[in-house]
Amino acid sequence: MERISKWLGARPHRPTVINLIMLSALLAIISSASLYGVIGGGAVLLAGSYFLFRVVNRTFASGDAMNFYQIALLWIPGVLAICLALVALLLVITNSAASLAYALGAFLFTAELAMLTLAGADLSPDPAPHPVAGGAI
Amino acid sequence: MDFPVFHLDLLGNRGLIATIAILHVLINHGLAVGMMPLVAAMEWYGNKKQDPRWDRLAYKILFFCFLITTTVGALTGVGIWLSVSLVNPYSIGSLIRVFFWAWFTEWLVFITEVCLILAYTLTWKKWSARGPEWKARHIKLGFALAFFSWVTMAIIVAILGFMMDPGNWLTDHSFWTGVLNPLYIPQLAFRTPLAAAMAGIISMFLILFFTGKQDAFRLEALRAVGVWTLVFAPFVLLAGWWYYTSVPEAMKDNLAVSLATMQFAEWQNKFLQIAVVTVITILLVVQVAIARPNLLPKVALVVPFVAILWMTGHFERVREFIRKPYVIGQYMYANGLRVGDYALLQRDGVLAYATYSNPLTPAEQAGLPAGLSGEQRDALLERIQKGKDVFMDTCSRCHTGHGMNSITGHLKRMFGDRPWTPELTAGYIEGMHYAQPFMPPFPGNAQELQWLGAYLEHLQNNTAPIPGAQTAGVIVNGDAAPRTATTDIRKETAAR
Repeated sequence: MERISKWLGARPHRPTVINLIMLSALLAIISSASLYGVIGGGAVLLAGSYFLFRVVNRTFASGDAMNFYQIALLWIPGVLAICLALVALLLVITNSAASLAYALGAFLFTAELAMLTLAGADLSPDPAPHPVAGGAI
Repeated sequence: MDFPVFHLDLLGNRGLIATIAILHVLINHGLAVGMMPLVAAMEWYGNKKQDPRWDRLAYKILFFCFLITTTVGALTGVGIWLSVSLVNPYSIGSLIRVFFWAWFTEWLVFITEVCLILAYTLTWKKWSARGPEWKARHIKLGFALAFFSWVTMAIIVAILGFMMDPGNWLTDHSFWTGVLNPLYIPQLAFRTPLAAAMAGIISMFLILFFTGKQDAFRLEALRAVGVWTLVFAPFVLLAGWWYYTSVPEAMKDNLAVSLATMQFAEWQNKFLQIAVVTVITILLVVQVAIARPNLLPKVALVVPFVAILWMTGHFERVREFIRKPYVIGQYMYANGLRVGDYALLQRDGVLAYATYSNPLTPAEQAGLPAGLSGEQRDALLERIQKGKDVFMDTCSRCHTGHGMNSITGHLKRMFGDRPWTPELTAGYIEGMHYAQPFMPPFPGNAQELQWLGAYLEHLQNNTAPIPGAQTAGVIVNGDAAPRTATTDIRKETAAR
């Protein structure tokens, strides 16, 4: 237990990602389209806003020092995660809980929300010491 | 029907073309059109960052592509045209009439591409050692190669689109109307990012072999190539949708069979679901490769690699099948007969215009009903011979006798083991294009339909393979038009 706590505490984004995975699992089990839409949509909005705020800051702070590849490395993972999370949300909301599309949507939503959180966390002023996106800039 | 029929009774003519063409598309898109700009971009980035690791990786990937494209790629490229010319010379003849100058231009562009890939690969080390100015020149050479690789595809895609839907060319018959057919731009818009994304996925797989396990550069390279792949992925999806919505509705009716063959046509939805899951899996693996490449197990990179090869190959199968019953939309049926010639052929019969015959071999003559007199036997064999010639001229471009996509397999599925009498099979074939919209109407006359029925009845009792190529000429429109098949010119002259 102590090891898990240490592991979670080592990087601030880890508990966030775990929380989001649990939230997604809970929403999938409840299988209420409207609840999924509101809570899930809110989570995407929150994580997406954080990512966009950070990525815009980073882009303007670096100015002309960045080349096209570096800009793509900053923007693409998060933007794609937002798009795919929204597609997943649409799949979940428009399909019944027993269908493959619902299960696929719920899985994709969880994965993309985690990706979006990671993309935002990697751009924070105190990023994780992993070889992260934009780290070479 | 001026040419002899080439026939493969086990693999089938379709199988031959599909094997060569799909292999070529995978190499062309994945290792040439998409890969050359990626390799040039790697070289550019390594030069800009003064990081020789990028340069080494780019060269290794290029050398691998150079080996494959100049051997298997070049052979299958020529092989496509050789095999389709053998199997369906009439469609190639029509295409050459329309696209003569496009093909000529493509040939020039292809030669340029070959020269450029030779120069790009063979001068890499020499020019890199000469200093920054020469390195910059070399990078430009790489981007020039990328451009010419794309242009060859852009020209050929015009012909592929034309074969699906010639559009207004059917009325005005001009070159540019043929080139700018309704499916050209959507298909090109789809194939361009597909090739780039495919190259990214193949590169991620190759990086595993060209970088060390503990090398930190492996992670950096995976992330960079992952970004390249994801940049193009949305365009693949968007252009794919545009392409799909541009395909005529009649073709979409063939989607179920084209996706999973007649036997599994009802699996269409499952198949599409598998395709969606595959795309999502590819995207997820690439996303993880960017966000946390160190957490990505090696085996995970095999998944997108296999998946993209399968999906691209299957897309080609669907594209080839979906245009049926035509080989050139609204103009020529898959059997190589022009739509405009049907009225004439159905009046006079196809054999009246067939210049080659495929004489029954002794093995093919076995299995006749017992108890026939010599005269009855000869008469029956003559009917079977004519039926076989009808089969070879009108069915064999897609169907075999007993191999893949065999006519006997379809008849067995429909009629089981009861006798396939000429009345039964001819009755079905006469209206099969209503039941199966991907089948062309039978082009011959009523008498030929009965002969074909006699041949199919014979095939139920005779499983001998049909020989490969027709070599025997026949007398066309001679007195009483006898179908005297012979390879002996003296006999033919005497018969005449």
